[in-house]
Amino acid sequence: MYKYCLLAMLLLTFLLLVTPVSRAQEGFPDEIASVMRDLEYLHSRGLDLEPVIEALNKAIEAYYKNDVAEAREYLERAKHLVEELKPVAETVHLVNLLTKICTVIALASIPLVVYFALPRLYLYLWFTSRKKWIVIRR
Amino acid sequence: MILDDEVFAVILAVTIVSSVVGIAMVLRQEAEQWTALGLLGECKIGKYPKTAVNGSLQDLCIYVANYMGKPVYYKVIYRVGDQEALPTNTTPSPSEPLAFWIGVLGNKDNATVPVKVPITVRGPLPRKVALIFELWLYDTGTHEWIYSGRWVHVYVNVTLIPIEGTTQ
Repeated sequence: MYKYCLLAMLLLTFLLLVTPVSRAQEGFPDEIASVMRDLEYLHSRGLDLEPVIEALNKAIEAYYKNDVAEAREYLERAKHLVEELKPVAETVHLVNLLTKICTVIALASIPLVVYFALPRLYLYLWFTSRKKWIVIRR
Repeated sequence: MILDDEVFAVILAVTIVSSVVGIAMVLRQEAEQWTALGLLGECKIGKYPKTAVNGSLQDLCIYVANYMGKPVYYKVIYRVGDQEALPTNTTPSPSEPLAFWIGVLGNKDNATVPVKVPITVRGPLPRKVALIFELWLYDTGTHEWIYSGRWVHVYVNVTLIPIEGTTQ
């Protein structure tokens, strides 16, 4: 009788220890999903998301190895990186936008610059290359 | 004019065309959005298993590529079925999912994931079945997994005991 009681207690302890871990693992894919909306937003702002994606994939890898602690650690790291990137997202987007606008303006101005500057430059070079010439009347 | 008019016109035309091409390249939007799913035997094209023992684990590699213009959270669902249970480009397979693998991919990124596929077949054996893999993407708008329409399969002859001289 004592043996059965001990076995039942051991079984109960095991179940109590195992159940929260299993439940934590069940919701893990949903927790990854919760980061995705932020990832899409940060990508639309032109930020480099490689460290975040790497952390998420390492979390998934640990999840498949049933290493809940490591999976959670990587997930928290990914969430932390996302929170770090969020405040600079709009600034990066603005800088990217300004860079794009400046590039387009620079490219659009090339034909105008060529139209106005090329004949003058050509004339300048033509004259400077011949300035030592001596003109002799025939 | 010292600079010949015709030469100047040609130079100007080349400059204008180059400028327009440059602007188009800077302003161009992402092309068609697409994803890819591939199945590799031993992480190389080919070398697919021909037979497998029921209840065993089969080593395969899954290749996923993302060109959706954004990072994606993907899930590859594995099922076993016969010819009638194959998915289409719009509907997934009706067979019961046996396993899934998840991952996150950045835009223009791809991953090759080695997986151990459980061979679980009910009914009479030996039998030729399809190992079906479907690509599902997480929709952050609806918070649901959406079938991408991408799927791959490989036919294997499932036996009760290993058959000598065949690839497993």
